Amino acid sequence: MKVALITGITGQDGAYLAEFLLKKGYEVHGVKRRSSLFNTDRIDHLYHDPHEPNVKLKLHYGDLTDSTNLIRLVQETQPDEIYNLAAQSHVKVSFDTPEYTANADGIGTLRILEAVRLLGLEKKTRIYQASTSELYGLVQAVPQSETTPFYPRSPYAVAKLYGYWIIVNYREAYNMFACNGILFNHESPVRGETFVTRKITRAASKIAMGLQDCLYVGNLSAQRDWGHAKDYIEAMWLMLQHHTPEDFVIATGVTTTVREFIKLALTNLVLRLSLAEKMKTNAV
Amino acid sequence: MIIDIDQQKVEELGLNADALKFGQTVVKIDSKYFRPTEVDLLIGDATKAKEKLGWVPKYDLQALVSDMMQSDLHLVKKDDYLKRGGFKTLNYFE
Repeated sequence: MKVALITGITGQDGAYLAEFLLKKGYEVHGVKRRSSLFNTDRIDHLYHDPHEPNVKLKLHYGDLTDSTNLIRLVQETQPDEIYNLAAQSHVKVSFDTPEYTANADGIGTLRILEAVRLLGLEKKTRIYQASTSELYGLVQAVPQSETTPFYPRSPYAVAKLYGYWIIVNYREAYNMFACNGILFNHESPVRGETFVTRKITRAASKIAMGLQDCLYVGNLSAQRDWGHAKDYIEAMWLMLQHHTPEDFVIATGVTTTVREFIKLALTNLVLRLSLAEKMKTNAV
Repeated sequence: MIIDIDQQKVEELGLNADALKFGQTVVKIDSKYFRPTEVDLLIGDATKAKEKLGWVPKYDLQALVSDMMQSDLHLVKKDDYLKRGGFKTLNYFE
């Protein structure tokens, strides 16, 4: 039986990946940060009382900013695969908390690599790093592929740039099986409520039910390549089953404006909107 | 702005027909959500993943939006039900 360690298991991707790996027969260990709230809503359906026999999903307290904690968790679980999905993952919030974002998203990745190396698990443990399309930022080519140069445009993306390159460096320096998945935006019904897609679908539902009048958004003209998280977590797993460690872009190849996403969400219910002509008055 | 309402769907989905008004402004822009440095356009080329991993996405955007809307409508109906039963529900505004 294979053993997987997932950092960020309480997040969107962690929850889908945990379910996927459990179905494949893995023993899954998840790392969650201590909080006075449970914060396990997304994995609640997978979680059993740890006192029951043959529990395949185990949660551990930890934090990517805590080296010795990570070393101990890797030592205790001896994972075949580590999926490093934990991060301060919100781009706009990274402008408010740039130092923490650098610590968790950048140096956090290094801590995982060092834990594996210090414990002599370089030959055993394969590592997946959650890299991001935000690395392309001010894009240098359209569309973006594995060979497109990066130009990060936020503290989040700059922190993830370090994560990307330290993965590449440890792969080349120590022959570790470490891969970057450069995932474009991926959404789902359990996407965090402050990310634009989920904010839109929640607001559209509330508006249709008469529980909210209006949705407030930022840049309507931003264009993103949106896929479903369920598809994308499968790609993470496939990367670690591949015969050689490599970096991969995961995307749909279709880009859409935030404006169009809003239209799609509302017309999915009952409304037809006239957009754009009232932009000057700040209304859509 | 709402310019049309599909009454048949309102009934099908059990929505609150009284709350939806023609001409109602449903989206407004708040500049506090703008990033200091914006990323305008992202579009990925996943040819390598397709060729080497055999990976292709199963969901297109329409299917993604439908999945999210179905789930959120269900959650909002739950909130509505709880509210009408006298229970407090969370706001989650940011």
